[in-house]
Amino acid sequence: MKLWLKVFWCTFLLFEVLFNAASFYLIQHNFNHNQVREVDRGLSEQHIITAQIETDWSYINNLNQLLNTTKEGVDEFLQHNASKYLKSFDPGNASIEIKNNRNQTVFTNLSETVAGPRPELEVEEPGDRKYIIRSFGHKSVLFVAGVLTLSGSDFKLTYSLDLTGIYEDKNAQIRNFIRINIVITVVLAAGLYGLIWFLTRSIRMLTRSAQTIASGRYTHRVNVISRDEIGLLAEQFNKMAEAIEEKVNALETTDRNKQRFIHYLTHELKTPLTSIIGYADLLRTATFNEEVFYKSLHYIYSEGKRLESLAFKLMDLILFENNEPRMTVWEMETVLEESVQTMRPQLEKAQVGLSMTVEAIRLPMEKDLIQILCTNLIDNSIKASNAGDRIRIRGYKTNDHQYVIEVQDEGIGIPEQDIPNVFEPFFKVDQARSQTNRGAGLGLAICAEIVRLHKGELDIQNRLNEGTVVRIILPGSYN
Amino acid sequence: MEKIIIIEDDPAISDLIKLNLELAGYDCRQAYSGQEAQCILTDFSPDLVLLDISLPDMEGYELLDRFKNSEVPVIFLTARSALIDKVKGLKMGADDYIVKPFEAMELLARIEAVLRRYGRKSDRMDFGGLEIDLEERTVKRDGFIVDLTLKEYELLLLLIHNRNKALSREKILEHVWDYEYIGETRTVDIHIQKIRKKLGWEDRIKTVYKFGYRLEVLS
Repeated sequence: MKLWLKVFWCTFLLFEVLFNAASFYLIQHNFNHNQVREVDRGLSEQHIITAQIETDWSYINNLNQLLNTTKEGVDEFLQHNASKYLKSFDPGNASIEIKNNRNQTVFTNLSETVAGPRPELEVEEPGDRKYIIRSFGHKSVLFVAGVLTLSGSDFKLTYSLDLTGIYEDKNAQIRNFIRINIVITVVLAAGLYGLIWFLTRSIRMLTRSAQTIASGRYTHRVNVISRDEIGLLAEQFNKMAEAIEEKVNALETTDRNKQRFIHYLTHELKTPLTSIIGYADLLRTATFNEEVFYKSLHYIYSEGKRLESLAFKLMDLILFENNEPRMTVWEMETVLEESVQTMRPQLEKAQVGLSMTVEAIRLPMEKDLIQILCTNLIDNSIKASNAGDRIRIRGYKTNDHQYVIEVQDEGIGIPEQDIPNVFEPFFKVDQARSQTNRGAGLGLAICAEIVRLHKGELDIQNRLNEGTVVRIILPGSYN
Repeated sequence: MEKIIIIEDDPAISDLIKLNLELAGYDCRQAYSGQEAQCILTDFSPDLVLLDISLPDMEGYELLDRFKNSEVPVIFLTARSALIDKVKGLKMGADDYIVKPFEAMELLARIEAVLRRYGRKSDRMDFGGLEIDLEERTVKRDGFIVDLTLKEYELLLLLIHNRNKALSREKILEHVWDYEYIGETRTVDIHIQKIRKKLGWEDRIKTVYKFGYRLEVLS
């Protein structure tokens, strides 16, 4: 069952139970109260009638003695006058019965004949009264019995009062209540249904959004504008969706990069392989021709070298990615000096000059990696330079305890739009030029990896046709 | 002699294709970029274009329209073997598609097929005193029909197309008998013997020791 339906049914049923209980309690309480009042009335009216008859009889008795006339006995007096006493009360509902001490009825105007025992008549003392409520079909009647003493002989006076009215009142109230209850139930059900449905709509919206996101549309956001818990939940949910979207995007980027890497790698592998296999096949099948023979051997050699260098660079990349470097402290100046020395032949061949000013510092580093980094950067600069250009290497400390190695050339530079891509494996800025220089496009990817291992940053600044500045920023604060 | 332009940025591969095509008797020109290709095309009208998809200055696809307008067949050369690239190339109107690394024989076979489809290659071929009618599948020598079986005829054509190159027995089996090498290369030897005898080519079809045969043509 849905939550909002659960809330609806719980509220609805709880209300119905409490409302009915309270109403019935009130009706019953009211009824009891009325009954007590009626019984009190019956008691007092019986008392009044008893007192009245006793007073009247003693008066008549006295008068008879004074006048010395004996007109009637007690029985006759009661038979003639008893009904008159009711007149001042409620003649429609009230009636009396008088029995003598031999339990013979002296007078009665009871509308109902009481069959069965009469426990209320077991009163002995004057002033003592007993009452009972009896039902006759639809009617409920109160019987109050007490002792009536006239001229020394005891009678029992039963005063009966019809209580059907309060019973009918009670039933009328119950009927009325049921009618009201039906109306209230309908209104309450409709009201609650609408209200709860309205209040829980944000939960449903949240659910729908969750389903949408779960089905793969990670850009979707929940649109719940409320300040309650659901609003808060929606906010957190959106934050979660954002995090997921970021993660998914990152994964997709990684995947695209991997795809591109494989794509380029295949290209880089297949091109030299095509040449090597092709020339070898040509050599073993074609009629010998000296020119073709040497040309083929030259291509097999150079393309084989190209494959070798690609293989080494790939192995470097894979190694860097998986290994933690073993840092030892080295003097930066010596390390850079050695790197430059290994690049001397290339510099001379390309007729490119090099100057170096390095501030002395001792830094923990993986020396071989830093040398690979420097030779790669110098190599890149040579490729970008023209004969007669100059490469400048600077090493200096910054104010915030970092150490910067700067390699600057006067070469062709990098087009602005390509700078974000230059660290991608196999990316080549100038395809035509790279073909003649025969790079695989892995140099800067390797550099970036080395710098990452040293927890540094690699920054490229550049003005097209004015040269490039590559800046390696190493954290120097740990010296 | 059919003229072919090789548009390929890698000089090693370009030279390799050129050497192979020249051995097979084609007239070749090389272009290393799209720009260069367009220059060459001003005074060179090829019968077929070999086009590398990734050129330094443009995508090979961009050059395609130009050739399509002049109804020159184009074969793509590429290192991309993804199906999507093949479909793209063929959809844009390439006539065939060769994925690197490729074998010279395969390349020649495809060039031959495309040229024939376009009618750029005549159905008649004169070679070493033979008159070959590719349509009727007949070989005439001095005006008389030489009686060759179907397999002998196909083997002869294979030798002619790969003239001056040694063909291994396995390769011959694969191309003429259309099945992979399973150790039975005697068939090839028998057929070569028969061709030699029927054409009087005992000197021309050379046996290459422990390898196969080569049809030698002195240019």
